[in-house]
Amino acid sequence: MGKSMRAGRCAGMSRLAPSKVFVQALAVALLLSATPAAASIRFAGAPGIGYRFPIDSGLADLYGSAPSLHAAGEVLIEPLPFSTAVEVGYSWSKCDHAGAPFFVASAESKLQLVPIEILFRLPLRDGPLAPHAGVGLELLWIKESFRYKLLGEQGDRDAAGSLHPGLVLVAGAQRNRSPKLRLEGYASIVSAKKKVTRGETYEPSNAEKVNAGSLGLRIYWRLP
Amino acid sequence: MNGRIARLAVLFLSLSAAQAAAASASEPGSGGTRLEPFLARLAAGNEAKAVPPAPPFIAWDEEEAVRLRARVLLLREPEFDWRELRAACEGLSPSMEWEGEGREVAQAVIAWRDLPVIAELPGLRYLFRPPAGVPCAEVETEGLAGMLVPEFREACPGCAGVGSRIAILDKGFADYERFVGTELPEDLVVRSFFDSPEGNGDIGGGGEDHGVACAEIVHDIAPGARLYLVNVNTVLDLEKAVDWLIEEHVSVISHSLGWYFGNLEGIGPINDIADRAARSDILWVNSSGNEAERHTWTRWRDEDGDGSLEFDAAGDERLDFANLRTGQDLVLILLWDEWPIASATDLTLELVDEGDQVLASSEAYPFAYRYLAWTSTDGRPVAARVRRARGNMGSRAVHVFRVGSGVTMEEHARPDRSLLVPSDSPSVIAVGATYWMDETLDSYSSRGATDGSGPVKPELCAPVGVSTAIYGGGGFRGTSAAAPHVAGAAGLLVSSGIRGGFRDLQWTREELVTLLSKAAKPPSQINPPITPLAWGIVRLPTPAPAALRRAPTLLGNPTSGSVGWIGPCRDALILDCAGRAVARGRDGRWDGRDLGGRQAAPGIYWLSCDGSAAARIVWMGR
Repeated sequence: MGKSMRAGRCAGMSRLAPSKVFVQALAVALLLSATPAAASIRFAGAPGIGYRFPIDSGLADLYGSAPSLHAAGEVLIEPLPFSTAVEVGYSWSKCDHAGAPFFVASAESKLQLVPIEILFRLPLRDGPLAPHAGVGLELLWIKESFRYKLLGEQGDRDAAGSLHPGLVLVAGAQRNRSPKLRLEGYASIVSAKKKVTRGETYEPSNAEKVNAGSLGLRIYWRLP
Repeated sequence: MNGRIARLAVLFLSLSAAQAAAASASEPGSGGTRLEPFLARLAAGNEAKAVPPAPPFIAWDEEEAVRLRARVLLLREPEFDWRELRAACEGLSPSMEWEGEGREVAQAVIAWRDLPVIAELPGLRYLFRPPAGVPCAEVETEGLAGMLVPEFREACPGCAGVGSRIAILDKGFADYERFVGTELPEDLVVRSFFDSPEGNGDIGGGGEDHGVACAEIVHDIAPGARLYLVNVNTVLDLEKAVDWLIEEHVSVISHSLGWYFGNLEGIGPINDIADRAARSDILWVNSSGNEAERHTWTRWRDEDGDGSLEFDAAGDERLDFANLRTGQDLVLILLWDEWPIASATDLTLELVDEGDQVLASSEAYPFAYRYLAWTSTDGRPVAARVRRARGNMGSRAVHVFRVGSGVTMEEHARPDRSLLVPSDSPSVIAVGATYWMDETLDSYSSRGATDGSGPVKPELCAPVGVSTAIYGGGGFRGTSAAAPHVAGAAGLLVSSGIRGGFRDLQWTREELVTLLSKAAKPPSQINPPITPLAWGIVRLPTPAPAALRRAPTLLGNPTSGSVGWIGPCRDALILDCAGRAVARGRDGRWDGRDLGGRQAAPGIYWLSCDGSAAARIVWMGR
């Protein structure tokens, strides 16, 4: 009895909530930016657009690729070789051929993804066109909703959104002359458990795993 | 806080008063009105030597009786809380075993001698033996077809119930282990609340295997569903079991038990439990009961003002039982419409002989519920009558049930409004019994109101007379067999939702109701007609409505070699006894091979054109 209780507690302690990891990473970045040795600290903002391709073939079959919107807030601290950015994206796609049984006249599903990232970018070379690579943590907010016609009656189901932790890798190049643009490709790796939606309040999982990550391309316009 | 202290003070000061009052309360008829008279007699020692057997609708533990103890329900006053009451009870009866408490009632095993003392405790309203659910089963014959299960599965690949959780909430699952992996799935969740609100009871339910037969049917229809085998005995067991099933997120509850405890119009403690399940998005499917021929009812009428209920407009005050045998038991239950507590009215059920001499009377309860059990010593005709002891009955509905297998209410039988609790609830899908082969209503099948004064019930009828491994070739009859068919169908539908990327959508309770109601064979197409019937005979949705529902006719007596037929189709499915498609016949001929091309094993098969009607093949092999 005691043994199993201890084992349970250890297991609980070793599990870190994704939001906690994210906040800790953010705190490290802010601490770094507050370093007294910082000779100069520069802030930049960057709106962007992009296009994302699901890694998971099931998701790709359902939703395919989709455009995305991005917004980034970046901190550059002179002595540090990398920049730190907090970025938020939004992607929206629809599927009008969701897997539905024969007695459902029409089934449409909508997928909304909001990746929240903390990214560390390392310039690989200086110059008017500077290549960079970066790594970061991602919290992916997923919301999938359904609209269908069941035996002639219209139905709507808006499942609750959920957050999933992941990793994001970027590589690209930055134009350092006006207009200052950044073009980069990214790969995000996020695993989520597929869930079952009956009502809006609970969703017992059927334990099927889905790779919620994606490959993408995005371009930013860096504001001074 | 002050209120709580005041209540504790009242409790404390009253303990001594309770002790003092106990002696008088233990004497029958001496004011012990908070103790069921039967228990009062036990406490007084009047029935200690020979306790009469309890009727099936009352939970009674013989093992506890041997130890001079009884399992009782304690009904509390609303302003008292169970913690205080439990402490006070334990102070008065140190040997008491507290088994758990619900919202209104708690359950405990208490020594007979301590019952009067506890009954006098302030805060307790009444002590009584727990009402128990009664299996609605009449085991007779076999068969399963007509729900269009093969067509549905063919049209909806992957819809075998996977992802749905179906609870079979029954009395007992004795011997279920024998069928795990064959007739029942490997992945079972088993929990017993039988006389154990904590959930650690006997899954065998004292040797009752009724639940296994029900579970087999559900599994036959929805083999991919996760089954919860859960058994209960008392009202509190049921409340706790359902609370747990809500936590487990089950989609469907199949309850083939009926309770004589409520107003039969959706009000009562059992109905409250079913309502709570429905609010938690659970589809509760219930057998309607087998009471149609052993029930009568009327609205209160006493034209001559003599205090006796008149059962008809002619003023007949007697329910005659002319066909009793010597030694035959006559058990009657009286229910009327004043629930949960009958504070304004009081009725007595009396048994009289031909000279109106009273032979037996019911005892008082605070509920609108009376029962009377009597054994004929000479086989002479007797009659029951209902007398008003107190209050204005107005036009309240009064029901009398005769309990027992193979008995009837004789010429007084009224099938309408004979639903047992909780199938009377609007939150529950009541299921009546139709014989699987010809889809005619079995005469015993309980039904709802026919005068439009209540919801049309049952909602569905479903096959009975089907085979199960536990009941063998004899088959499974009664509305008990019907309910799991609907539960299995609902399980299949649960698994047929829309599949998304991150979410798979399951149908909600309301959507399942829509699917079941619209897919059913409607009452307008049923011949001979079944009334009342809300939705029809259970069906699964199919891609195109099957036009013909005529069984093929077999040529000769084909028990081996090959099978030929004529009839509504040239190509047909060969179903096994569970309704599974195992082979296909073409051009009016089946060569005895299964879908894999192997020789079909000897046994009973069904040749079906459209799934609704089939010809029986006794196959001896080639």
